[in-house]
This record gives sequence, C-alpha cells and structure tokens, in this order.
Amino acid sequence: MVDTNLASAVPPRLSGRIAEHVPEIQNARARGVSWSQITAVVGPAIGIDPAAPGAASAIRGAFARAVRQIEKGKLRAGPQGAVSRDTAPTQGAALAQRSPRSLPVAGGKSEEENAAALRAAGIKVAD
Amino acid sequence: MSIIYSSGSKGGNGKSMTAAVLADYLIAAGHPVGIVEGDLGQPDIAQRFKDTGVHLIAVNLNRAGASEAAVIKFAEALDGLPRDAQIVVNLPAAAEDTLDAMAALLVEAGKSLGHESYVYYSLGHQRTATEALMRSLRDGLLGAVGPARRCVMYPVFLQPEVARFDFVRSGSREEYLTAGGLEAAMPAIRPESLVDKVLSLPGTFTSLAAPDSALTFGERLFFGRQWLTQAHAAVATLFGAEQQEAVNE
Repeated sequence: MVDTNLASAVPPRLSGRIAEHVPEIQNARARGVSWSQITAVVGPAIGIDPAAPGAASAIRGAFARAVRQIEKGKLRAGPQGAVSRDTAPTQGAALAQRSPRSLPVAGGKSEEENAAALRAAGIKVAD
Repeated sequence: MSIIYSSGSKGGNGKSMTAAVLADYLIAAGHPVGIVEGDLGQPDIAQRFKDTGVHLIAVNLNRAGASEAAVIKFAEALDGLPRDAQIVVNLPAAAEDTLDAMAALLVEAGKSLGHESYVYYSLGHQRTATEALMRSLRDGLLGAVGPARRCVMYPVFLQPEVARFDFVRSGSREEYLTAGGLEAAMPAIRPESLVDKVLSLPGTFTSLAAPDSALTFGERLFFGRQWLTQAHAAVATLFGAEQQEAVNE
C-alpha cells in the first residue's frame, strides 16, 4: 500500500517532533531534571542520539521553539507534529490534542496518576 | 477575602512549602481556608491538607499552549470555593509559561468574586531567577498585583545568606523594595534529619507541633518552637500584624 498522504511522508522538524513531549519536559524541568537526563529519555523517541555532541542543547532549543509555536497555534502538542497554517488548531484544540503523559522522574508519577490518586482520596479534581 | 498565590520561577525553590506554611498560618488564625492545588505533577499540598477540613480542589495549571483553558478551569475552581474563604493557590513551576500572560485576567477574575490577590514569589539564588522575577514584575503575576501585595521569599535552605542571592547582589532588590514590594526569608527546617519526617507526615504543621503528633518531644522543640514560629512570621509579612496577633493568641 502506497501512502498517498504527502504530508505524512515529510518528517517534521525537530521542534515538531518534540511538541509531543513539551508537557512532560516542563514537568521534568520543574523538578530539577537536567537537560542531559531529559535528552537521555526523550532523545531516542524523537530520533536524537543522546550521546551525540550538542544533543542536549539541540533538544533544549527545539523545546523552546516548540513552546512558542504551540502558543501561536502553529504546532499541536501531540504526535502529529507540524501543521499548516490552514489547519493550525486553536489553543483549545491544541490542549485537546495534548499528550496526557508526563515524563516519569525518579520516584515521581505522571499528572494523570496523581490526579487519580487524589480522586481516590476524595479530593475534587477539575479537568 | 483573599486569593494568595504561591509562585516562583522554577521547581525546588520552596513554592509548595510557602503555600503549605501559608495555609497552616491561616488555619491557625481561624480563617476558613480554600486550597487550589495547581501542581498535579507534584500535588504535595493536596496530599498534606486532604484530611484537615479545608476546602480543597486540584486543577492542572501546567498547560503549555493552553493558557485560556487553564484560566477557565481555575476560575471555575475559584467559583466553587466558599466566598468567605482565604484561598491559597499552589502554582506549578511552569506557571509562568501558562498563566503569566493572563495575570491581569486572573486578578480580575478574583476581584469579580470579591477576592483581592496577593503573590508570594519563592526566589532562586541565581541570575536566571532574578531575570524570571523581573519578567513577572514587568508582565506577570507580580506586576498584576500592587506592590504591597507581593512578597519575595528567600528560601534559606537554598542559600542561607540572603546577601548572596543574585537578586540582592545585582541591585534589583533595591529597585523592588523602593517600589514598595515586601520580602521575607523562609527558614529551613533544622536539623536536616527532621526534614524528611516532617514532609512525609500529612496534616497541618501546627498539628505536627502539638504534643500528640508523631514527632518526638525533642523534634517538636525544633520544629514547633523554632521553625514553625519563624515560618509563620515569614508569611505574616504580607498580611501584617493583625493576623499574626490572631495566631499568637
């Protein structure tokens, strides 16, 4: 079967590939996880060799660009990567596309796991 | 009533601790307290206060690229809390990415519900922390509240000497204080062996300092008499002497 969807055949730029991981990277950074540790986890998932020189700074730069693009609605925080201007989602749609996963850090849990634990403890969680 | 944000530029600067001390201080002063746990990545405050009788709601405020959705959820959470409650908001470390652009809207939302907004800002000791603080003063939450309603917190566990914070050394602090901003040092729990024990025990800090708590007499001596008194005094900086007197009664 030949893929006739040309867009899907074009590999997205690094900032597009990293968009899926923006929320989890923010969580990790908030917890003091270093860029080299983030690179070790996220790098292989987006086609970056963590051992390559400059890998961490490349991911760091791409992350910053991705955040700006998401804010502008030019990227969605999901696996689709870059989208055209015509199909760029609104910020609300970007949220709906957002990857729900969070980067697991040492001893940490994802936001979803924490939310479930809070609900189980009888705490109201607005989502 | 008040909405009191515990904010800061990054994780590990003591935002959650400031929020917890503040909630504890208000509870001890006899106020009805509501807590918005905005950090679902590390919901320490929700876990600590879940069985204390405070009004508690958790909202994910760490939403890159979806500031509007975060603000809507937050406003709904506020609307669900009692109007007579003092509301403590524990912001996630990445709040500046999500919420700072909408700081004026947040403050306005609080006002329309009858709440004045206050901000505690837990500061890191490096230059990047100073830059983030100045950004927040210029365009973010710190700037959206009046000078007398913002308080920079120096986490002593990060750097015991306040004079060595870049914010102080760079002269930015002078500018901040001249404009009428407030500041306080959040004390570190000592001895260090006590830190993990305190952080692992749920409930208010005041209850941990009480004779029937899981802390030993010796531990309570340091925790209750020393640390908690100083910590309450630190958060009282923003709320003035009136509430402090209520705590001391």
